[in-house]
Amino acid sequence: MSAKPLDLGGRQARLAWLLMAPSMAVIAVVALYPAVTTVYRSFTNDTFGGGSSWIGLDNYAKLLHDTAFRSATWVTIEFTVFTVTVEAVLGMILALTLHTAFAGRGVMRALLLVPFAIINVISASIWKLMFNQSYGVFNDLLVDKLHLASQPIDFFGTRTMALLSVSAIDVWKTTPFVALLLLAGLQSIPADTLEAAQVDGAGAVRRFFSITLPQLRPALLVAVVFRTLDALRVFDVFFVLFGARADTTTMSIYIEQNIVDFGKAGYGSAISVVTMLIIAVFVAFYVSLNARASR
Amino acid sequence: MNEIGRRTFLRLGAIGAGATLLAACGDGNGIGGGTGNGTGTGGASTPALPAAPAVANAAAAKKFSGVTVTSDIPGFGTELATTQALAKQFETETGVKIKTVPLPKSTSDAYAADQRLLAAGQATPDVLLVDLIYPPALAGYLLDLKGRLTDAEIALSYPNLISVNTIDSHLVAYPWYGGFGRLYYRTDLLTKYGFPAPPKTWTELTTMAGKIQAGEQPGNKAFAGYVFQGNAYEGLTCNALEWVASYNGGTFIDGSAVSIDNPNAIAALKLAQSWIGKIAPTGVTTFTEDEAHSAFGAGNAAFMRNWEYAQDLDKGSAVAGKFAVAPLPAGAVSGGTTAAAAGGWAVAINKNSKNPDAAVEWLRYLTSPGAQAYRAINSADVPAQPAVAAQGDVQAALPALKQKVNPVARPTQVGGRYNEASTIIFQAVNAMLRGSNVESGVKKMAADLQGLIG
Repeated sequence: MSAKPLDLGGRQARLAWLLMAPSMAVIAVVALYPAVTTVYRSFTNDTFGGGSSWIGLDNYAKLLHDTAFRSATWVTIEFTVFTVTVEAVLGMILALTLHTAFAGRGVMRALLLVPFAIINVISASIWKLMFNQSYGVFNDLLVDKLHLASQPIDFFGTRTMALLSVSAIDVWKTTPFVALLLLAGLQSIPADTLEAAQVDGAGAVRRFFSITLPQLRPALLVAVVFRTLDALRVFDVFFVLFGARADTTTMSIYIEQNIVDFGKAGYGSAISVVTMLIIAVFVAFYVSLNARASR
Repeated sequence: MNEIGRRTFLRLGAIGAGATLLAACGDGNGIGGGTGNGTGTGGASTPALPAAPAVANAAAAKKFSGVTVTSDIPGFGTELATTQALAKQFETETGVKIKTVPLPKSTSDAYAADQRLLAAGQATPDVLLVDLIYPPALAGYLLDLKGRLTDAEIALSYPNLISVNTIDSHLVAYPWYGGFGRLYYRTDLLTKYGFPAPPKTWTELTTMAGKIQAGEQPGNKAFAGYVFQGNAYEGLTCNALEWVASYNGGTFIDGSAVSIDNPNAIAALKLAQSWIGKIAPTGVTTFTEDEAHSAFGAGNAAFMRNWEYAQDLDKGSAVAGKFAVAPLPAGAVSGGTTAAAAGGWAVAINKNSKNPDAAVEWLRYLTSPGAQAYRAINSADVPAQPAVAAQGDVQAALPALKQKVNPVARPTQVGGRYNEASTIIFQAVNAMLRGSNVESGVKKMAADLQGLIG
């Protein structure tokens, strides 16, 4: 940089860097350093209590043939696609309902947050009790009270049942979150365009798809991206419900298993990196979707 | 993203912040509200503990008065209380300060925690609790107790427990308390259905459980003949080990060879698979000790496999006074025998400890016959010394000890890779219990284990 006095833009840029420096330093320590370490470690055979040496791409080569990791990836993606879709639809219905004026709306909005306010591990444990085949409330209702089933249902038995059960918990828990984000979006849509459309004779369905939904897209995108990121990293509900069962192991559980239980920090780091890439693919997909739609 | 106006963004942000606040309140409520895990081994109704036994080695330990020894202790229930009582007693009599570190409930978490500290060369904890499956993995960080403890003291424990804790002729940990797989059965139901004695073989158990379940289920839909630990976790490795070993099918890995792919093991696993949906609820594939304990305790099972602690159902459960304990059944093949997975913990000393001598004195008291009897009577911890297990007051508290068991060790000789081996085993067996083919499952398990140990 030359010695001549900076112009206004230059000074502003310098001030901006100065003001951002503390937060960037914090981010470097708490986010960048662990991320870089993880990437580095993924190229080593680091084990807790053992040595660590550079093995290049060996971990990634091994990962390609790791059937357990492939299964974990599919479990996670199936869970994500299913829950995020259901949550977006249900969340939209809830948000539209709460957007209309009715008595007790304030109370309803507060109540909506209750599932979201319970810690994951605790709500998962409660659901596990409710799903229990021998003494759970669902089987009590289905078999003994309503006589809809002749014998108790095993909600965790097959892979499909297990995934549906765990999805039900996730939907129950996070639909309110999606609904609230969408509600905020709905409230920022000016009422006059809707009224104008109504005057022009557009029906409710037409008004929703032509006016509300396009304007809601940014909020919907935020909600779906947040939910997708969370769902792809899912650990707690699966862990509480199924432990280390092979056919319900998610990517995060597989990482935990390798690093904590097996002490394989190097291999676990490689799985973490691949998981991160998979998440990045999803985010890129959403962003491109949004970019195309807004053109 | 750039389409979100600033107002919308702020509003979304405010909602996010509000939600976080509410979630934080939820945290408080969750903890304050309390969610007991229902095993009832501890709790407010437990009467005050009797005084801890006197410290026999107080004179020797007093030399280290004023020194602080950091020690792992069991993290939960009455076990925590009895161990803390022992620590207080030791402090009072010797002046050595015991700083207690409660361990996580899960044995692999406890292992992970200690292993990190040891690998980092930390001097504390000075005294460690080591699950019987981990001495080979941790041996390099632990003090050799030979020469520290007298031969007479070492001879007080079971020889096979001493050998499990002896790595390369170093005694790296001293056995503290044990635990064996046991069969709990409903005495009232056996009488009702005309069975004079508990089952001797697994085939008998299958028949008896089937008959009792058929009789009881019409009145109680939740009733099951047999409950055990079928979830994909360490407990299933123990159950499967008992089935396979009782069928004279080895212990998955024997010596340095994978042994699981044999006809006896396959017969045992096929029988276990046949229980699901017949004498055991299909949900048993998600049961840990807690769920089995709850089902049996609620009167919803005729038989249960569990550890000695389940004796606590004799106090205030629906089956109090209506059950007894027996050795696990034998396999109905030649060479079949009863087999009980051996669980348990030993006490070890950190090689990097700054006060190894004081730590040895604390270990000596903690594992002394008096302390073991105290913990057996007051927190149902099975003594690791036969003389203590034979004491009348101990047997009155833990009737299971009157019966001999045939302890079988898990294949811990694989050392630091035991967790991986166990995961291969319990995931494979869990899948079989949920209906996958046994023969091909055993083949794959054998191949995976072989790949692991090389």
